[in-house]
Amino acid sequence: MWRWPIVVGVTSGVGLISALLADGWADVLSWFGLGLPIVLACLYGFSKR
Amino acid sequence: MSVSALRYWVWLHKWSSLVCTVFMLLLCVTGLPLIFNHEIQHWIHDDLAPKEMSANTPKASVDRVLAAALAAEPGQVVQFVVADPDDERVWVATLAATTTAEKNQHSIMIDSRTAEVIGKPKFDEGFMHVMLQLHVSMFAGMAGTLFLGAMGLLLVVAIVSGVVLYAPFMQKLAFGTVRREHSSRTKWLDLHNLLGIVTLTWALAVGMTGVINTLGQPLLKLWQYTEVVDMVAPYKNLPPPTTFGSLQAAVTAAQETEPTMSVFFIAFPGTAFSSMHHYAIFMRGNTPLTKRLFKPILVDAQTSKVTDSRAMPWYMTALFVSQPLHFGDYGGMPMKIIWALLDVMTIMVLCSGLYLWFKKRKLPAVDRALTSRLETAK
Repeated sequence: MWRWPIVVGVTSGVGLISALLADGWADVLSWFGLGLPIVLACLYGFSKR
Repeated sequence: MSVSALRYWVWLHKWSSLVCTVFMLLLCVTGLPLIFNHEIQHWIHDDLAPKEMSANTPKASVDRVLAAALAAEPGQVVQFVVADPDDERVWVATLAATTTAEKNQHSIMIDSRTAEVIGKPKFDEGFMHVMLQLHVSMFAGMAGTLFLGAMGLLLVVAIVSGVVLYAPFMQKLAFGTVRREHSSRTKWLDLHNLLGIVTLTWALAVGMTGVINTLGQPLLKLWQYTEVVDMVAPYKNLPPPTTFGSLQAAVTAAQETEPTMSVFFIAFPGTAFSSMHHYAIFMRGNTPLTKRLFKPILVDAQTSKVTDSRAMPWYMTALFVSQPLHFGDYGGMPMKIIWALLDVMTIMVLCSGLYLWFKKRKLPAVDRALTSRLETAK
């Protein structure tokens, strides 16, 4: 039950912090980290599967 | 979890959310355009752009920039000069009738290479000003800001209690289950849980940094009344100077003190950020994090000699670090778009929460708090 919440919590946490620490690759990492909640919401919440 | 514990958490989640939801909706809706504030301001003030010149054009003396600002607003005094954080070709000077005036301030954009006035942007009117004021204080000054901070604390309580409730509500369901074939209330309960849990880290970060930001003014005052007073103490009993030395010499002295940092903000003698005797020159670093951390350097306004410089205390550092985490302006346009989408998802969590509460009120009053749990256990 907690596997996905923990994964998404940690990745978005990494996303929040990485762009603060550096530019370039760290920005890209933060887009992916913070993008995961949106991807999951679209996959499960807003698709008709 | 025991039934009484569950009841307690349901009660806590319901009331912490209900009290803050309307204000959180206001913050989410007004925050949406504010994410793109920089782009929208550029679009509104598209006539206020610096001239295209070769990239290595040297900068003009700040003394000329100062003279241009004073000539553009006769009879006014300069309070601050700020380097545009996104465009090093631009200085923005703030002028008013006196050094301490907090109203009727005028902004003037000046080209940092030619010292020519680019224009006079109006930051205190229009749609974005209304959005900002609603977001920061609901037009209610310091009281409004602190009230929104208290609502932000309630949001944190609502999020934490929501996470506690996630387990009993989801224990029989696979992650992301949305029971569309059930009642509309069940479907929205599932969506509320899904959107709530995936936005958890972001919403907590934005919520808590928002609360820290509401303390910005009090923290600034604390810093002024302790550290700044201490830094200018040697000048306490001296009469205010009548003539001032070169601003460029003061800036050069500050730059020599911190050669790896850049000038961000200059507070003029007599303003709230300085003393009667000093230019307070705030330097900032050059990495995504350190460019948001400022270090004040006090320069004697007559002799252009550095008299004191010290790192900001921990609470000001906490305030400065919390700002990008609230604004989402530190990872380019993709991050702003992600910030906006997460904001919209939060609006859906808030609205679905309201809807669930409203629907539950209409259920028979047997034990509303446990209905959903029973539904899940079926």
